[in-house]
Amino acid sequence: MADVLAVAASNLVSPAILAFLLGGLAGFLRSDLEIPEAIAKGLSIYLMLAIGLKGGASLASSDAGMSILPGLIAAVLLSFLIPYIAFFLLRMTTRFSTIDSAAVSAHYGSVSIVTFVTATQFLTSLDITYEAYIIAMVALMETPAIVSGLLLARKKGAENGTKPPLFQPEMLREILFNGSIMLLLGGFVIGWATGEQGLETVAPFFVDPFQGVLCLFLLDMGLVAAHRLRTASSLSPSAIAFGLYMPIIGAVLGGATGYAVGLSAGGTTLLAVLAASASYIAVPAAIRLALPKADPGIFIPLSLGVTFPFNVLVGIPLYAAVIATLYS
Amino acid sequence: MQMFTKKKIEVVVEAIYAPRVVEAAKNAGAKGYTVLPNLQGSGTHGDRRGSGLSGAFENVMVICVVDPSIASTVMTAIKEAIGDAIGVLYASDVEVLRDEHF
Repeated sequence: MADVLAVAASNLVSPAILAFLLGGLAGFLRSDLEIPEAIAKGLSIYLMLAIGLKGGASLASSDAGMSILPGLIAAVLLSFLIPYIAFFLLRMTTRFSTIDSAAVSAHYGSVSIVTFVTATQFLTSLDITYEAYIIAMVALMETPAIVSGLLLARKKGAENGTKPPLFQPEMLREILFNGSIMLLLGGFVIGWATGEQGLETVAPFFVDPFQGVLCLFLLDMGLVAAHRLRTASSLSPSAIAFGLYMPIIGAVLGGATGYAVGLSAGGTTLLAVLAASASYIAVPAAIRLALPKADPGIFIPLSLGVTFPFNVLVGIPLYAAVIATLYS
Repeated sequence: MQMFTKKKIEVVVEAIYAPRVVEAAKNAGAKGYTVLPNLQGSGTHGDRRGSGLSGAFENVMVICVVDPSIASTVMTAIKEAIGDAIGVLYASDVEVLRDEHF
């Protein structure tokens, strides 16, 4: 238990997490501090390409081969499955409509890349290694949950006799070729093709300043999360509770899956973090197109204002500590 | 100087739907459009302002100036394109100098 607390404390005093708290504080105090939209977007492009490059390069220097397949398949299944659990819990405990429940469920099955990046930095600071191909899991886990969410919403449409088409062409493009998937997978392929040598040539830009860029990005996330939480009057206590216990359910599922497919303690922790995290970039855009009746005033504050801070501040060190204890 | 009366159609709509709105307007006969990105505001759907990466809280404005004879066709097409999405749609009379542009 002392270990758990020590690990949690070391997470809280990292510059990136403190920058997140600073952003949150500024947001709650209604400071005029603001990261311009275009810069935030630029920072996220940097983070996603950097993490893709690093993952690809380290996969190239490992001899993983086909042994990574079970892990990748398990990750896809996890993303498909989690929305069904989330949907069931939401229908049992909240007053959300079927459409809103389905929309929220899709967010929780998908992943938050920034939560993942924060977790990798946390593991690195503790000298815990993890499998390189987890980066590929991140990209693979983004979309299956959207399909599950739409299937859940569609059941309701069928009852009313107005069955919406499952996929419109625009939406298919939106979810398959969205920016974060292009950057993660593209970076991964570039990193893999050029190997450690290739990474070395861009390391002064993509590796060394990574922590600093993450600080700036998390500062912005703090501001945005605080703003969303402040304006989230429609969230009932049972919804907020969902935003807190759902990540733990996800982490248990992700951790068990990681163990089952033979990941290391570090890799299992990252899969737990992925399963625990909720999307707030790719899924909201897809859901706005596919389910315009779903209220963005519910799913964004919940994933961004409740679950994201919970995972970053409490979840990551908690999952890491529990998994480290179980593996030792 | 001779002026020509046209209809200016303005659509405030969530950013993700802007391509559909533009497409609908063009198909209905609008010869051009302008998009103002990254707007802030508040309405029946609460506070609307971009939150960085997802377009889900971002609004844009699409402006089309069209001949009054097709204004109602264009507006109907845009209304259909918006569907259940978040948006505001209105039109007003404007005076233009170069009739042939619209």
